Formats: sequence, C-alpha cells, structure tokens
Amino acid sequence: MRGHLIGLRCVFIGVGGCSVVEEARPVAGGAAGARARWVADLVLGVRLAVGGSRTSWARLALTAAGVGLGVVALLLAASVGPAREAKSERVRAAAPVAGGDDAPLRVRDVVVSWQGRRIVGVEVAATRAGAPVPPGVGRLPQPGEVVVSPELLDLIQTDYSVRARFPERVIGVIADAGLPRPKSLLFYAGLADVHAADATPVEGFGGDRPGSTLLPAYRLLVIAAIGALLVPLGIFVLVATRLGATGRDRRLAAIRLVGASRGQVRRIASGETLTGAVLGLLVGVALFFAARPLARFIEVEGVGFYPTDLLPDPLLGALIAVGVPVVAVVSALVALRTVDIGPLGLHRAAQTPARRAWWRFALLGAGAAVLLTVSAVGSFDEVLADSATAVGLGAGIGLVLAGTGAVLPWLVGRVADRLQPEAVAPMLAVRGLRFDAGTPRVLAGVVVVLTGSLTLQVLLGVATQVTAASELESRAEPHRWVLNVGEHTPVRSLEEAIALVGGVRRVSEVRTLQPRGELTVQVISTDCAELADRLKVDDCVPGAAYRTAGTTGIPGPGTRLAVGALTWVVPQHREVPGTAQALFVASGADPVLESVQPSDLVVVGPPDRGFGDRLLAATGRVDRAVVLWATARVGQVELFTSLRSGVIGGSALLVLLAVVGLAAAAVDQVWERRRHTAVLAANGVPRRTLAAAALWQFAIPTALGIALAIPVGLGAAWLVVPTALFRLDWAELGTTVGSAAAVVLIVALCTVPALRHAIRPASLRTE
Amino acid sequence: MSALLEAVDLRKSFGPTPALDGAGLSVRPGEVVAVMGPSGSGKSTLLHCLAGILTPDSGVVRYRDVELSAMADGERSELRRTDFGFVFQFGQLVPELSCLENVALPLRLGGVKRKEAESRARSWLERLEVADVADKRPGETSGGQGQRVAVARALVTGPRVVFADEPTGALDSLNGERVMQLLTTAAKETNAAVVLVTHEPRVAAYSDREVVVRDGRSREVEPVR
Repeated sequence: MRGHLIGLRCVFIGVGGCSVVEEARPVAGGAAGARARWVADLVLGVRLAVGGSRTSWARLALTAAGVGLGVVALLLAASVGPAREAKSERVRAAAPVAGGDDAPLRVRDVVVSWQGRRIVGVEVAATRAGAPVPPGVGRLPQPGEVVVSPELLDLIQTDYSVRARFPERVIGVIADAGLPRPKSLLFYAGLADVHAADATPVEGFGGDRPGSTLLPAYRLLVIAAIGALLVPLGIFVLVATRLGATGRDRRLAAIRLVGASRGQVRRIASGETLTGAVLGLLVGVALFFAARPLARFIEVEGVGFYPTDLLPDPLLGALIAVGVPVVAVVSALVALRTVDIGPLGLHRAAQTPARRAWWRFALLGAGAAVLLTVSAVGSFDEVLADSATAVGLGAGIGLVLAGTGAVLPWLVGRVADRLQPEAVAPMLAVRGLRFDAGTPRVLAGVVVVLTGSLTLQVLLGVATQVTAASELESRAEPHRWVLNVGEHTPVRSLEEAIALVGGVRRVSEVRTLQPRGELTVQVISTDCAELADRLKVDDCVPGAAYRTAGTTGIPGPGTRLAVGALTWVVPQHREVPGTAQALFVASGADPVLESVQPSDLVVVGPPDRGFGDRLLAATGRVDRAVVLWATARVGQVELFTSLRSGVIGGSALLVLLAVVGLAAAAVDQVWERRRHTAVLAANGVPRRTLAAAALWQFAIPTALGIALAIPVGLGAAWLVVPTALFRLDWAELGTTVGSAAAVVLIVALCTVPALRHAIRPASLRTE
Repeated sequence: MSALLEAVDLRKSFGPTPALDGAGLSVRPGEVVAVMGPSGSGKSTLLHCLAGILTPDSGVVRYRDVELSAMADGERSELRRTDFGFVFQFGQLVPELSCLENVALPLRLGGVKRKEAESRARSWLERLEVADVADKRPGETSGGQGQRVAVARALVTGPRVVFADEPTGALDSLNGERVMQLLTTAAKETNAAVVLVTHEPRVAAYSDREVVVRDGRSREVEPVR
C-alpha cells in the first residue's frame, strides 16, 4: 500500500501554503527496522502501564501485589522439595553407621516424652581416641554431660520439669548442621557404663537416607493438596495480570483507530501486561527473600525449616521466572483474540462473542476420566505405591479443578442470558454479568479454592480415620501404660522409681519367650492381676496357664523345651476366649520363666497424658531407653498433624490470596465501570439500588460457583477415596461453604466505598 | 477532479437491524463534506465504512481507486495511520499518555523517532492553540482542549482524509465553533479532505457540500450558506 499511497507532503503550513515539504513518514527498513518497531511497540505498552495517573499506578500496584503474592506462594512451593532434601540430608548426616565390635563408638537411641512432645536423643560413648563426632557437635559428651539443641536448651532453662529430666551438665549446643529443623528437640548424652551393654557399635555418622514413612492415606492427601493448591494459585496469578483488562481493551481500540495493526496492538498489550507481571515477579521474589529469615522462628505443628533451606529448586525457580510473565502475556493475547480489538473498540459488536463450552467441560471430563482410571487400576494402597499413578492422581485433581474454574464464567454467562429479574438492582446486575468477564473470572479462583477445600476435607477425614484408628489401637485401654524395657535395663530400680510416681495402682512385669523349636507361639508370663485384665479369668493362681481359643502350635503339657541354657516344661493349661495367639503363664511359680528379663512393664494408673509424662520422667532417671508404647505411636499422629497443618496452612495462604485477588478485582471492576455507574446515578438511580446491584453482581456468580463446587469437589473425592472410607461431615461442609460465601460477601461490601466514590458527578468527566 | 474516496451502494446490517441500505458518497481532495441526518440514520456507519473501520455487507469503497474491502487488515491499519485522520465526539485519546504523546502516537506507530515525532506533535499543538496542555493527560484538560488535541492527532501525519464524527457534539457552541475553524482551516491548508458527520446545521455550515443520510440511504443537498 505504502508505495502508491504515500508521497511528498506539506507538513508545516504557513499563511501562503506549505513552508516545508518533506517525506512525511520516514520509516526504518529491513530487519533492524522491524526490530526497532517491535521494541518501540513494547516500550509503548510499558509506557501505558506506568501511565503516571493515579488510576494506572493503582492498577499497576494491584497487579504487582496480586502477582507478587502468587509468586511468593509459588516460590514457597518450589522450595518445599529442596527444603525437604536439605532436611533429609542433615538427618542422613546425623544417622549412625553400624560398625563391628571394634567400631570407635557405642550409641543407644533414647526418647524422652514431655507434655506429649518427643525429645529424641542419642547416648554415645567413644571406645577409643579420635572417635567421630555427630554433625553440629563440638566434642562427644562424657557420662554426665549432654549436648542439646537450642530449643531444648531453652526448655531446660525455662521449665523445671524438663530440667529435671536432664540432670547432666550441658556442655554445648548442637549447631544447625546437626538439626533437622530450627526447633528440633534433640540431644546427645554421654552413655553411662550401666547401659553400655544395650548400646550398638557404630563406625561414625552419615548413614543411609531415611526412607518415606508416609501412610498411603497421607500420601494421597499430599498429592491432592499439591493439585488443589497449585491450580487456584495459577488462576489468581492470571487474574492479577488481567486487572484493568476492560480499560486496556478500550485503550488498545483507541490505538487501533490511529493506525496500529493487530500485531502492533498485541505487542503493545504484551508490553503492558509484561510490566505488571515482571514487577509482580520482582515484588514476589523480594518479599520471598525478605520473609525467608522469619522461617527460623516459625514452626507449625512440627513443620519448620531453616531460612537457607528455603531456596527454590533452580529448575522450578527458572520456570516461575519465565512462566509467570509468559503466562501473563499469553493470557492477555488469548483474551485479545477473543475480543478482537477493532478501531471502534467493542461497542460496535452486535453480539458478545460466544463463550465456547466444550473445552471447559473437556477439562472436567478429562480430570474425572483420569481419576476413574487411577481408581480402576488397583486398590487404594496399590495405586499409591506407584509414583506414576500418584502423579496421575494429582493431575486428575488438577484437571478437575481447572475445569471447574473454566466452567463457572460460561455458566454465569448462560444464566445471565436467561434471567429476567423484575427488580431494578438484580436486573442491572444480570445485564452487567452478560458483559463482565472479570467478576466470574476472579470468582472462579475462589470456587476452585472451595472445590479443592471440599475434596481435601474428605481426604483429611479419611486420614483422620486412619490416624484415629492408629491412636485407638495404641490407647485402647487408656489406664494401662506399657513400658518397653531393654535387655539390660535394671528392672528393679525401674520399679522403685515407678512406685514413687503418684497414681500408680499396679506394676506388672511381662516376660515374653520367643518361639523356638517345637514351640511356634509366644509364651507370655505375667502376674495374675494382669492376666485377669487381659484374659478376663478369675481362677488365676501362680503357675496357672491359659491358651486362647484357636491357638495352635503349643506342645502338650510336660514337653521339655530349651530356654536359654535352662530347660522349661510346658505346664498344664486350659483354653480361654480371646484373640491373642499365645500361651499365658501366671508368674510366681516357675523359676525358669522368672529368670528371663522382662520385656515390658504394665503400669496401671490414671489415663491422662500428664501421668505418662511423670512415668517417663521417673523411668528416665534410671534408663532413658525405656519407651512408653503409646509414645512410639505418637510419631504417626504427629506426622498426620504436620500434614494437616501443612494443608490448612496452604489453604489459609490461598484464602488470603483469594481475598486479596477478589478485593483487587472487585475494586478494579467498580473503577472500570465508574462512568456507567455515574451515568446511572446522574439519571436518578438511587445509591442503594446501585449498591444492591453491585452485591447482586457478586451474589449470582457466587451462588452458581457454590452450586458447582459442592458436587464437583465431593465427586472428585468420591472418585479418589475407597467407598468404605468415604464420609461427609455436614457441619464442616456447611462451615466451609458458608465461609466462602461470607468472604465473597465481605469483599463485595468492601467495594461499596469505591462505588460511592465512582458515582460522584466528577466520574462522568473522563476521557 | 476525480474522487479521492468513493462509496457505492453500501449495505450494512448489525444483526437484524439494517444501518445502511444502498448509501453512497464521493469525496474529492481538499473537500469538506458534511454527512447529516437524524440519530440512527446510518451516518456514523457510513463514515466507519468509508474509513475502512467497518466492512460493508455489500457495495464498494474505493480510496484512490483501491478497494478497501480487498485490503488486508494490516494494510487498512497502515492506511489509517498514514492517510486518514480521525476526530470523534469523545476524542478517543489514550488517557495514560500525555497530550503530546497522544498526538505523537500515530507517528511513533509508523516508526518515526520519538524526538522527531514529539517535535512535530508540539508544532501541531501550537497551531491548534493547545501547546500549554502538551504535558497534561487528557483527563486534566477541558473538553474543548481535548478535542483540539484530537484534531492535532488527526492531522499530525498529514492525512489525505480526516474523518470527524460529531467532533463538536460534546462541546459548547463557542468551543465547537473554534474547533471547527481550526479543523477546516488546517485541512484546507494541507489539502486534506474532511468527512464530517454531524446533525448540527451550524457545524455543517463549515462544509463545501452536504449529504443527508436517512434510513440508510444518502442524498446530496445544496450547501446551506
């Protein structure tokens, strides 16, 4: 075109006509020229983003804040892997390496329980000079000395009951390199000679990496949580980059009018979007590194990291650095394709572009299909043992959630097309919703959070059932406290110490003979009181023997068996009801059985945790290696608590992000529509009606979103969880849904001041 | 003199609503043509078709003997940037840019260096007596000043045709008169044709001839002088 349309032009006009004649439009040619044009278009986009007016700065700030928060959450998520890796590495470095009899160290693992918390320790002794020391420890403690973690030192210094359990002299504090997390309760104590026989020979420290101990239900929870938290995060980042999109479309239309081609408009829009996204990225990175040192002081339910642990995986970090701006630009360009900005903007379009439904439902369907396939492949446990299938499960949940987010704007559009409200306020809201993609888009993020929360709630319920079963198993009879006793623990001293604990009603020694030779079941010897408790027998006398119904493998009475160096004769016994497969013998009459070191002490006392603590404090003074059986199970409960805290913490962060995103988008919408609103106000529409219309504009998509989230969220969980474990807590469900609705309503109410500002007559005068 | 811009038998509908029903128009270089008619008669649609912003359902628009509908979107964009200028009722200025940047925008989009583009933009702002608002944003100017900035932007590339759609519609009579004087004078001096859509006879009085559009059909009338 240019060749035959452009010639010489009169540019500066004097009274008598042209005073200067020149080629009107010098245009750089070639590849360099094209590059310069590209750059100029991008720079113009940047210029539009930082327009200098209060509105454009506010829009940029909102975008940067929204993207920034999203980036912080993404960086945090990208750091979880390396942080766990770093923690595992420290655990590995501190793990003892088993050695032979000539090994330089002897160690014994011990656990101290305090107010339900586990204080893990290692008693250590060197067998020769120059023995290796654990990481983070200056020198090996001698008997009567202890090296403790900073958190334990704090407890020792501030709490008398803790100090009582560590009578040794504190000779040092374990450095970061020797601790899994900043608030770890850990100690190294000198191994007393009396316990040397229970210790194992160790070559040094830096053993094998500990394997995953996650129960399938927990693993499922983790996978689902990753999917459920990351998808809405992505949506919020997208929403943040689309703030002010309506105004942007108008600006681009104005630029199209003065001759920008579609390609130029795309580049200008890219430049504009890129500015917000890059600024948000920088804000996010700065916030992340600024907040990182706080990690040292934060530990939620046993989950904590050192600041240096929180370094995003380089690949994921690069992906975030590149991905956030790229996703922002691509979404802006896709949106431009949908609206096809023309020189007249969007106002001349006879019909709004139809929202295609197929891909939205395809996402949902694909997610459901993946979940169905995964469920069909094998049982709950089998599926989770296979990491590829686990990834499929996460992807399935992610697809379902992404589909939910995509379906909502379509659903809102369809409903808005059909609704014909009588009242003015809902009518204004419905008409607004037909052309307003912003509110449904940001609400889609909230609905995805809600959907994911509902799915996670069911999964948390399943994990709770598993945990509760574990806890129940450990404390079926809460008044009976079972202490595991070591092979060389001085039982007499232990019993004397226990006797001093207030509330002890009975202490029973339990001896267990391991099967050998003809005898293939355990022989359990304990006193009559304990047998009466266990077997519900009332005829027990010393020497009486019982076997539970169905127990096989017990030789006939009079059979002689070797027990160590001694010979034991199988006594007469009678059958009693019960499930424990063992031969029970009442103690006090058989010297051979009496010669065996007890394996457990059963203490009957109050069922409260405080009693357990006092019991361990007493036994710890004799031998810290004595383990309360329930405490061992506490580990699994603690793990679940950590996981639940992680999921709840992630959800809370996401809700915060949702509120910020929603508020930003809501204010943005009010601002974008200020002229229309001001016109309505100027025409006499009461403020109350306008405020009600604004609330309706939130309420309708919210109601639709909730209606969508409940079946999808619960449906996804139903596909994942075995039917037998599927439970619904209606109260919790109601609370979650109610909270989501309340959050949206509160944010909507918060827009009223902005609305009040928008309907001032001055808003009518906008360029 | 042969026509610079010519439309023949244009038909255009928006959904079921017909906007143009056989309208036609011809514009010669340097000529000011007023397109008049009641609201909804199709005069703005005719202007948008003439400018290549809208594509008619049928009929032909030729600019310098080249059919606009045969051009690619990119070519039409270039035409708007180089040969056409636009002034609308609300100036369609970009609110984030200063008035100077708004006027320089078409030149910048065409690849002119910033310094040169702004220098030429400033001279046009001076000509249109709004040099004092050069560094202000459109939202900080009065309606009349904003419209003069829009006129400057329309003329800065030295267009052959300026399309003005109700350019004084949002202005008081005094400001409207001044904008029309400046627009038509500058257009005459640069030999640019002006297609002026208006329903105000006082504004149409600045034209060389008038075309009335009614129910999507156009009819030439004698100038009212």
